[in-house]
Amino acid sequence: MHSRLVAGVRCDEVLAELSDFLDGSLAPEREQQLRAHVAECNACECFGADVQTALQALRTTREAASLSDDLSERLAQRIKDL
Amino acid sequence: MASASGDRASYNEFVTRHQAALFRYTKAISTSPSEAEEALQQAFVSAWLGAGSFRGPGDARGWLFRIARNAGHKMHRLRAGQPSEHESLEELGCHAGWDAGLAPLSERIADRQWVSQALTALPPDDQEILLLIEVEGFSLLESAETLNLSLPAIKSRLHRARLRLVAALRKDANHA
Repeated sequence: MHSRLVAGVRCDEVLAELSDFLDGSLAPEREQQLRAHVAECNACECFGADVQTALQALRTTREAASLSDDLSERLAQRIKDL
Repeated sequence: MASASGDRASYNEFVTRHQAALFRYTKAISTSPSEAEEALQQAFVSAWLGAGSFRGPGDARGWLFRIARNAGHKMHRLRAGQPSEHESLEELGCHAGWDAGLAPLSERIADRQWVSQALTALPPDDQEILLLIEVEGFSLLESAETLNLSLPAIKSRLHRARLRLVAALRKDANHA
């Protein structure tokens, strides 16, 4: 388990705030502090990249999830019967 | 929003617009395809019957998803919220690769199918929050209202779910 102090920020602070960091919801000053840490900490940089890439992949997985013809018909019928 | 006494054609449009997303959601919170189908149908029936209670012009999608969630609960077979292991954030992070010396996951992490499969293997609470926010694009506030949780609770759940997703990918990659 690593937690180094780099650029005034510890790795475990990055871990705790990573979602806010990736979502851009940190205060600008705090974001800059984490950005400075990540720029110098290879472990946090790699980890953050993994999380970000996984989320980007997940965001494109909106499969069609199309309803089968049978389910569509049953749903339409139930609504029609109301 | 069409009401029970209102416009059936508009309601059919509403169903068409939301049915795919709602089906993804009911599949994520149900234990079987048949339950997911039933929850979907019940949600649209309840939404039609209860449309008069919808206080627009707010978010009809969130309202619909809340109804689907309640429909699942009423079936008494909604997946029990399997309590996730009470790992510390650091332990969770380490499982996800937050550890010096662990090589980054390869470009395979961008494989949508691989990530999608990992999602379906997560605890239901994790799947639910990731599906709403990452896949369906709900805001944190929308998700908080849909799941009846506070904003801090939603943010915490999302953060941990994201880490568990990456941990699942790493575990799978290590076994490959």
